Amino acid sequence: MSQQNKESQILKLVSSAPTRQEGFVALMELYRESLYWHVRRMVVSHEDTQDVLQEAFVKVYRYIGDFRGNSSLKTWLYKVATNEAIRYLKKRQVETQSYDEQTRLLEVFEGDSTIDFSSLEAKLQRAILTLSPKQRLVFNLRYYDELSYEQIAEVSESNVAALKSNYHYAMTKIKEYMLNQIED
Amino acid sequence: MKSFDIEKIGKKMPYSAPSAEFFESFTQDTMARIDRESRGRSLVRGAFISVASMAASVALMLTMNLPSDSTNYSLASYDSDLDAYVTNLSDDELSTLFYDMELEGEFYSNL
Repeated sequence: MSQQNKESQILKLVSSAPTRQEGFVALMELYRESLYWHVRRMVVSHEDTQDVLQEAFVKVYRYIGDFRGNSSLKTWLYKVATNEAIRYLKKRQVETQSYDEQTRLLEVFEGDSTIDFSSLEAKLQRAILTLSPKQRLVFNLRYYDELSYEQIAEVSESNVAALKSNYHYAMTKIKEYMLNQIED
Repeated sequence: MKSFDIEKIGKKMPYSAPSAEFFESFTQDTMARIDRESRGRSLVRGAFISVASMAASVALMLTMNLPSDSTNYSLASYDSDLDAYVTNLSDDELSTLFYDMELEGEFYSNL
Protein backbone atom coordinates (compact mmCIF):
# COMPACT_ATOMS: atom_id res chain seq x y z
CA MET A 1 0.00 0.00 0.00
CA SER A 2 1.38 3.44 -0.91
CA GLN A 3 2.16 6.06 1.73
CA GLN A 4 -0.71 8.21 0.47
CA ASN A 5 -3.18 5.32 0.78
CA LYS A 6 -1.95 4.54 4.29
CA GLU A 7 -2.41 8.18 5.28
CA SER A 8 -5.92 8.26 3.80
CA GLN A 9 -6.85 5.11 5.69
CA ILE A 10 -5.45 6.50 8.95
CA LEU A 11 -7.29 9.81 8.52
CA LYS A 12 -10.51 7.93 7.87
CA LEU A 13 -10.05 5.89 11.05
CA VAL A 14 -9.16 8.86 13.29
CA SER A 15 -12.07 10.93 11.98
CA SER A 16 -14.59 8.56 13.53
CA ALA A 17 -14.83 8.31 17.35
CA PRO A 18 -15.16 4.48 17.58
CA THR A 19 -12.02 3.88 15.43
CA ARG A 20 -10.04 6.94 16.53
CA GLN A 21 -7.66 5.11 18.87
CA GLU A 22 -7.07 2.30 16.35
CA GLY A 23 -6.27 4.89 13.68
CA PHE A 24 -3.98 6.78 16.00
CA VAL A 25 -2.01 3.66 16.93
CA ALA A 26 -1.61 2.97 13.18
CA LEU A 27 -0.39 6.56 12.71
CA MET A 28 2.16 6.15 15.50
CA GLU A 29 3.38 2.84 14.12
CA LEU A 30 3.87 4.41 10.69
CA TYR A 31 5.72 7.56 11.81
CA ARG A 32 7.13 7.03 15.29
CA GLU A 33 10.57 5.87 14.12
CA SER A 34 11.19 8.55 11.48
CA LEU A 35 9.92 11.24 13.88
CA TYR A 36 12.06 9.79 16.67
CA TRP A 37 15.18 10.31 14.54
CA HIS A 38 14.08 13.74 13.39
CA VAL A 39 13.61 14.89 17.01
CA ARG A 40 16.78 13.09 18.12
CA ARG A 41 18.80 15.03 15.58
CA MET A 42 17.32 18.22 17.02
CA VAL A 43 17.58 17.59 20.78
CA VAL A 44 20.40 14.97 20.74
CA SER A 45 19.66 13.01 23.93
CA HIS A 46 17.52 9.87 23.79
CA GLU A 47 15.60 10.73 26.98
CA ASP A 48 14.78 14.25 25.78
CA THR A 49 13.69 12.84 22.43
CA GLN A 50 11.34 10.45 24.17
CA ASP A 51 9.72 13.32 26.12
CA VAL A 52 9.45 15.64 23.11
CA LEU A 53 8.08 12.92 20.86
CA GLN A 54 5.43 11.89 23.37
CA GLU A 55 4.38 15.51 23.79
CA ALA A 56 4.18 15.86 20.01
CA PHE A 57 2.01 12.75 19.60
CA VAL A 58 -0.31 13.86 22.42
CA LYS A 59 -0.80 17.17 20.58
CA VAL A 60 -1.33 15.37 17.29
CA TYR A 61 -4.08 13.30 18.93
CA ARG A 62 -5.66 16.40 20.41
CA TYR A 63 -5.62 18.45 17.22
CA ILE A 64 -5.90 15.90 14.43
CA GLY A 65 -9.58 16.77 14.16
CA ASP A 66 -8.48 20.26 13.06
CA PHE A 67 -6.10 18.92 10.40
CA ARG A 68 -7.42 20.39 7.16
CA GLY A 69 -5.39 18.33 4.70
CA ASN A 70 -3.75 21.41 3.16
CA SER A 71 -0.46 19.54 3.47
CA SER A 72 0.26 15.81 3.69
CA LEU A 73 -0.19 14.15 7.06
CA LYS A 74 3.56 13.45 7.12
CA THR A 75 4.40 17.14 6.68
CA TRP A 76 1.94 18.13 9.39
CA LEU A 77 3.44 15.58 11.79
CA TYR A 78 6.94 16.86 11.08
CA LYS A 79 5.69 20.39 11.73
CA VAL A 80 4.16 19.48 15.08
CA ALA A 81 7.27 17.50 16.13
CA THR A 82 9.59 20.30 14.99
CA ASN A 83 7.62 22.93 16.92
CA GLU A 84 7.61 20.75 20.00
CA ALA A 85 11.40 20.25 19.76
CA ILE A 86 11.97 23.99 19.28
CA ARG A 87 9.73 24.74 22.27
CA TYR A 88 11.70 22.22 24.34
CA LEU A 89 15.06 23.69 23.26
CA LYS A 90 13.91 27.19 24.21
CA LYS A 91 12.70 25.94 27.59
CA ARG A 92 16.06 24.26 28.23
CA GLN A 93 17.90 27.40 27.22
CA VAL A 94 15.95 29.38 29.83
CA GLU A 95 16.71 26.71 32.45
CA THR A 96 20.46 26.68 31.69
CA GLN A 97 21.00 30.41 31.36
CA SER A 98 24.77 30.29 31.01
CA TYR A 99 24.72 28.16 27.85
CA ASP A 100 23.75 28.84 24.30
CA GLU A 101 21.85 26.08 22.52
CA GLN A 102 24.77 24.98 20.34
CA THR A 103 27.19 24.62 23.27
CA ARG A 104 24.64 22.68 25.30
CA LEU A 105 23.82 20.29 22.44
CA LEU A 106 27.51 19.69 21.76
CA GLU A 107 28.01 18.89 25.44
CA VAL A 108 25.13 16.43 25.42
CA PHE A 109 26.51 14.84 22.24
CA GLU A 110 30.04 14.55 23.63
CA GLY A 111 28.70 13.10 26.87
CA ASP A 112 27.09 10.14 25.10
CA SER A 113 29.27 7.18 26.05
CA THR A 114 27.74 4.93 23.37
CA ILE A 115 29.19 7.00 20.51
CA ASP A 116 32.42 6.05 18.73
CA PHE A 117 33.82 9.54 18.29
CA SER A 118 36.51 8.39 15.86
CA SER A 119 33.85 7.32 13.35
CA LEU A 120 33.04 9.48 10.34
CA GLU A 121 29.33 9.52 11.20
CA ALA A 122 30.15 10.93 14.66
CA LYS A 123 32.34 13.62 13.06
CA LEU A 124 29.55 14.42 10.63
CA GLN A 125 27.06 14.75 13.49
CA ARG A 126 29.43 17.07 15.31
CA ALA A 127 29.80 19.16 12.16
CA ILE A 128 25.99 19.39 11.87
CA LEU A 129 25.75 20.50 15.50
CA THR A 130 28.05 23.46 14.77
CA LEU A 131 25.54 24.83 12.21
CA SER A 132 23.00 27.54 13.06
CA PRO A 133 19.64 26.15 14.24
CA LYS A 134 17.95 27.02 10.94
CA GLN A 135 20.72 25.53 8.79
CA ARG A 136 20.74 22.43 10.98
CA LEU A 137 16.99 21.95 10.66
CA VAL A 138 17.02 22.40 6.89
CA PHE A 139 20.03 20.15 6.42
CA ASN A 140 18.55 17.35 8.56
CA LEU A 141 15.12 17.49 6.94
CA ARG A 142 16.62 17.47 3.44
CA TYR A 143 19.54 15.08 3.84
CA TYR A 144 18.27 12.56 6.41
CA ASP A 145 14.49 12.79 6.11
CA GLU A 146 14.56 13.40 2.35
CA LEU A 147 11.76 15.96 2.49
CA SER A 148 11.32 18.13 -0.59
CA TYR A 149 12.07 21.84 -0.29
CA GLU A 150 8.33 22.47 -0.59
CA GLN A 151 7.65 20.17 2.38
CA ILE A 152 10.46 21.76 4.41
CA ALA A 153 8.97 25.18 3.61
CA GLU A 154 5.69 24.03 5.18
CA VAL A 155 7.41 22.53 8.20
CA SER A 156 9.63 25.54 8.87
CA GLU A 157 7.34 28.27 7.53
CA SER A 158 10.05 29.54 5.17
CA ASN A 159 10.30 30.05 1.43
CA VAL A 160 11.96 27.58 -0.90
CA ALA A 161 14.68 29.98 -2.14
CA ALA A 162 15.82 30.76 1.42
CA LEU A 163 15.84 27.04 2.26
CA LYS A 164 17.98 26.16 -0.76
CA SER A 165 20.42 28.85 0.29
CA ASN A 166 20.45 27.51 3.88
CA TYR A 167 21.10 23.99 2.64
CA HIS A 168 23.90 25.12 0.36
CA TYR A 169 25.67 27.03 3.18
CA ALA A 170 25.15 24.13 5.57
CA MET A 171 26.72 21.68 3.12
CA THR A 172 29.66 24.03 2.50
CA LYS A 173 30.32 24.42 6.25
CA ILE A 174 30.05 20.67 6.80
CA LYS A 175 32.52 19.94 4.01
CA GLU A 176 35.00 22.47 5.41
CA TYR A 177 34.65 21.00 8.89
CA MET A 178 35.03 17.44 7.67
CA LEU A 179 38.06 18.24 5.52
CA ASN A 180 39.76 19.71 8.62
CA GLN A 181 38.95 16.53 10.54
CA ILE A 182 40.15 14.09 7.90
CA GLU A 183 43.82 13.30 8.01
CA ASP A 184 45.82 13.40 4.76
CA MET B 1 44.91 15.71 -1.41
CA LYS B 2 42.05 15.63 1.10
CA SER B 3 38.56 14.90 -0.16
CA PHE B 4 35.20 14.46 1.45
CA ASP B 5 32.09 12.84 -0.02
CA ILE B 6 29.11 12.91 2.31
CA GLU B 7 27.46 10.09 0.36
CA LYS B 8 30.23 7.75 1.55
CA ILE B 9 29.04 8.27 5.13
CA GLY B 10 25.43 7.90 4.10
CA LYS B 11 22.63 8.37 6.60
CA LYS B 12 23.92 6.21 9.40
CA MET B 13 23.68 7.86 12.79
CA PRO B 14 26.41 7.55 15.46
CA TYR B 15 23.80 6.97 18.18
CA SER B 16 22.74 3.51 19.28
CA ALA B 17 19.31 2.79 17.82
CA PRO B 18 16.40 2.14 20.18
CA SER B 19 14.99 -1.37 20.10
CA ALA B 20 11.66 -2.43 18.61
CA GLU B 21 10.49 -2.98 22.22
CA PHE B 22 11.22 0.66 22.97
CA PHE B 23 8.85 1.81 20.21
CA GLU B 24 6.15 -0.66 21.27
CA SER B 25 6.37 0.49 24.86
CA PHE B 26 6.51 4.14 23.73
CA THR B 27 3.22 3.69 21.83
CA GLN B 28 1.54 2.06 24.83
CA ASP B 29 2.77 4.76 27.23
CA THR B 30 1.61 7.52 24.91
CA MET B 31 -1.84 5.97 24.46
CA ALA B 32 -2.13 5.56 28.25
CA ARG B 33 -1.26 9.24 28.73
CA ILE B 34 -3.75 10.30 26.05
CA ASP B 35 -6.44 8.24 27.77
CA ARG B 36 -5.58 9.75 31.19
CA GLU B 37 -5.57 13.31 29.84
CA SER B 38 -8.80 12.78 27.87
CA ARG B 39 -10.54 11.73 31.08
CA GLY B 40 -9.09 14.75 32.88
CA ARG B 41 -10.26 17.11 30.16
CA SER B 42 -13.75 15.60 30.34
CA LEU B 43 -13.77 16.30 34.08
CA VAL B 44 -12.66 19.89 33.56
CA ARG B 45 -15.32 20.34 30.87
CA GLY B 46 -17.89 18.71 33.17
CA ALA B 47 -16.94 21.06 35.99
CA PHE B 48 -17.37 24.10 33.75
CA ILE B 49 -20.76 22.83 32.58
CA SER B 50 -21.76 22.15 36.20
CA VAL B 51 -20.71 25.62 37.35
CA ALA B 52 -22.47 27.21 34.38
CA SER B 53 -25.63 25.18 35.08
CA MET B 54 -25.48 26.15 38.73
CA ALA B 55 -25.08 29.81 37.88
CA ALA B 56 -28.08 29.54 35.57
CA SER B 57 -30.09 27.78 38.32
CA VAL B 58 -29.16 30.42 40.89
CA ALA B 59 -30.12 33.15 38.47
CA LEU B 60 -33.43 31.41 37.84
CA MET B 61 -34.04 30.91 41.59
CA LEU B 62 -33.29 34.55 42.30
CA THR B 63 -35.65 35.52 39.55
CA MET B 64 -38.37 33.20 40.85
CA ASN B 65 -37.47 33.83 44.51
CA LEU B 66 -37.45 30.08 45.35
CA PRO B 67 -34.90 28.53 47.82
CA SER B 68 -33.17 25.33 46.68
CA ASP B 69 -29.99 23.29 47.41
CA SER B 70 -30.45 20.71 44.64
CA THR B 71 -27.24 21.64 42.78
CA ASN B 72 -24.87 21.19 45.74
CA TYR B 73 -24.36 17.46 45.31
CA SER B 74 -23.30 17.47 41.67
CA LEU B 75 -20.82 20.32 42.20
CA ALA B 76 -19.26 18.58 45.22
CA SER B 77 -18.90 15.39 43.20
CA TYR B 78 -17.12 17.20 40.33
CA ASP B 79 -14.90 19.05 42.82
CA SER B 80 -13.80 15.79 44.36
CA ASP B 81 -13.10 14.09 40.98
CA LEU B 82 -11.26 17.17 39.77
CA ASP B 83 -9.16 17.35 42.95
CA ALA B 84 -8.22 13.68 42.58
CA TYR B 85 -7.25 14.19 38.92
CA VAL B 86 -5.18 17.31 39.60
CA THR B 87 -3.49 15.69 42.60
CA ASN B 88 -2.33 12.82 40.39
CA LEU B 89 -0.79 15.11 37.78
CA SER B 90 2.95 15.69 37.77
CA ASP B 91 4.29 19.26 37.72
CA ASP B 92 5.13 18.84 34.03
CA GLU B 93 1.65 17.60 33.19
CA LEU B 94 0.08 20.46 35.12
CA SER B 95 2.21 23.10 33.45
CA THR B 96 1.51 21.48 30.06
CA LEU B 97 -2.23 21.47 30.73
CA PHE B 98 -2.35 25.14 31.65
CA TYR B 99 0.18 26.18 28.99
CA ASP B 100 -1.83 24.32 26.35
CA MET B 101 -5.11 25.86 27.44
CA GLU B 102 -3.64 29.34 27.12
CA LEU B 103 -1.52 29.22 24.01
CA GLU B 104 -2.04 26.35 21.64
CA GLY B 105 -5.54 26.27 20.29
CA GLU B 106 -4.92 29.01 17.78
CA PHE B 107 -1.66 27.59 16.38
CA TYR B 108 -2.93 24.05 15.77
CA SER B 109 -6.29 25.08 14.39
CA ASN B 110 -4.51 27.09 11.70
CA LEU B 111 -2.59 24.19 10.19
